[in-house]
Amino acid sequence: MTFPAYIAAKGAQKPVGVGLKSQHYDDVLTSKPALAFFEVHAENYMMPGGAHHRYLEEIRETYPLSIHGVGMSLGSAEGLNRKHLQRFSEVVNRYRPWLVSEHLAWSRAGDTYLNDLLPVPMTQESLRVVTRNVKAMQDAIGRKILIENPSSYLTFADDEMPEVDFLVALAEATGCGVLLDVNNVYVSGKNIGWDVRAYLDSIPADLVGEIHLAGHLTRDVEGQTLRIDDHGSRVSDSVWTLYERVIARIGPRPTLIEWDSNIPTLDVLVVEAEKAQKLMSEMVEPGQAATRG
Amino acid sequence: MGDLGDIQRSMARTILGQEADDSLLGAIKDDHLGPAARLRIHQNNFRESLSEALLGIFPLCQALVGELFLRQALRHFVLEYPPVDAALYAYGRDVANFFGIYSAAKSVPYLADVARLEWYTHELANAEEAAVYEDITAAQAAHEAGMGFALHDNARVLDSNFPIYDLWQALSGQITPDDLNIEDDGQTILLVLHGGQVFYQLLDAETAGTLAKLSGDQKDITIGSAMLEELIDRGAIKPK
Ligand SMILES: [Fe+2]
Repeated sequence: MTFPAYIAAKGAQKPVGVGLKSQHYDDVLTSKPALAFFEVHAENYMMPGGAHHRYLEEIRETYPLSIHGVGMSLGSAEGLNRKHLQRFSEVVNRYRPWLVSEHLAWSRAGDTYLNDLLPVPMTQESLRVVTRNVKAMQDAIGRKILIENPSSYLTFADDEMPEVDFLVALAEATGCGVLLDVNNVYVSGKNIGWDVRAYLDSIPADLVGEIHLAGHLTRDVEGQTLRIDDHGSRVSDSVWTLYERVIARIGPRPTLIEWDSNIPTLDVLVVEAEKAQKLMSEMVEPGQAATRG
Repeated sequence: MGDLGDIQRSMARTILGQEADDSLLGAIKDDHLGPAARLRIHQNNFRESLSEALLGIFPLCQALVGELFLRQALRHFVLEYPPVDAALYAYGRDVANFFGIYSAAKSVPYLADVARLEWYTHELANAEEAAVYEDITAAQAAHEAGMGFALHDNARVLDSNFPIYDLWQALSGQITPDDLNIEDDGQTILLVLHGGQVFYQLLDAETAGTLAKLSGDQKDITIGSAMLEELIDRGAIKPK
């Protein structure tokens, strides 16, 4: 995966963005916050017309975009949905984003869309399926994508490899990169019982094209504590610590603050983004002198 | 359990409300929290995320029956009519029909039409705005030449047995609830998308009737030039 050119072009600016919510459209256009990019869910821009398109057209004149898919169902054994692929391509062609990403997950079975990022068994069979689907998606949109590690609530008895190995093999087979969601690694680690640090330390630096940060919820489920990836609060202290650890090892990466439920005012997201900017500015980049500021 | 496709079909059935079968439960790792409890997280995600998304499309229904009732109704809806598509802007068309047969909503028979009104609003708000047809002279000529007219792509008509226009005004705070008499005669609303905004117009019986005839397949309809002009003016029709 080549390092996104935007970082080199902007030099000192640390590439931190936030997820664009319709509640913030007007505020973004009037306050023009100091952010490097906005990320949008591709599915929210698949309608023929309307206000979402009008706002995004205007916002992209000022900010680079990242198009993030949630419904491609790359883990589906039945293959990709042609109509959805077509519409995704149209969104990419229309908005010419800086980054494009999707998930290591499935969400479709037959005629039903399940609106969730469902877990894929970590098997050779799944690897063949996801490889085929990622290649089909990349061919359709004519560019490489980043694949995001999901939040896990269950794993499969017949799993054959750790998630990191799966992602690395997928990247080797398809040329895709990884969108490393640090919160998801933390949530999955706590829910499943992985070693979160070992996961983050083993992901190859050159594969990571973007990082996600978000808040999660802690819930008691049948006497067990579960972390639910609801994107409804500030990034937790544990996740910030892990983020520092990741960027200290792999260097700066485009970083996104996600917030999708209990959405606060835009300035709250901007404060979170500034925190990530500050951490990236303070760290020692590999092979460089420290730039503190 | 069999191959990946089997797991996914079985998991989909479970998320849609069926009891998880033994082979699926056996395929999921059983540790400090059992497979059934872990699957329930995804069942819950499905119901909650979709009912939440739909809630945003039906604010007037919410004003009418309250958030608690609407959420509950939508949770039933998503299980009975799951989405076929990841582009969720198109999801929710069946909510109005569902409310029409939803037994818990029997005491609010006009809920279905309020949902229909909000669905049309949502549909128009996300539509590509077609050019307005406003050439009245050409329209008259086309009509005299026997050419048919159709409902404009930017327009929807809601013909209700309830005073839907008054109901819309009351639910959106334009009139007080005291000004609404739900026993009043039925009303017809014309919704038109114009300049990125959806406008609501109350139609009298004659205009509504003509529009119904025009948007149907009926041939040889004679309409006076004043009525044709009115319908063009309202943005309701275009030549077929
Ligand atoms: Fe994420």
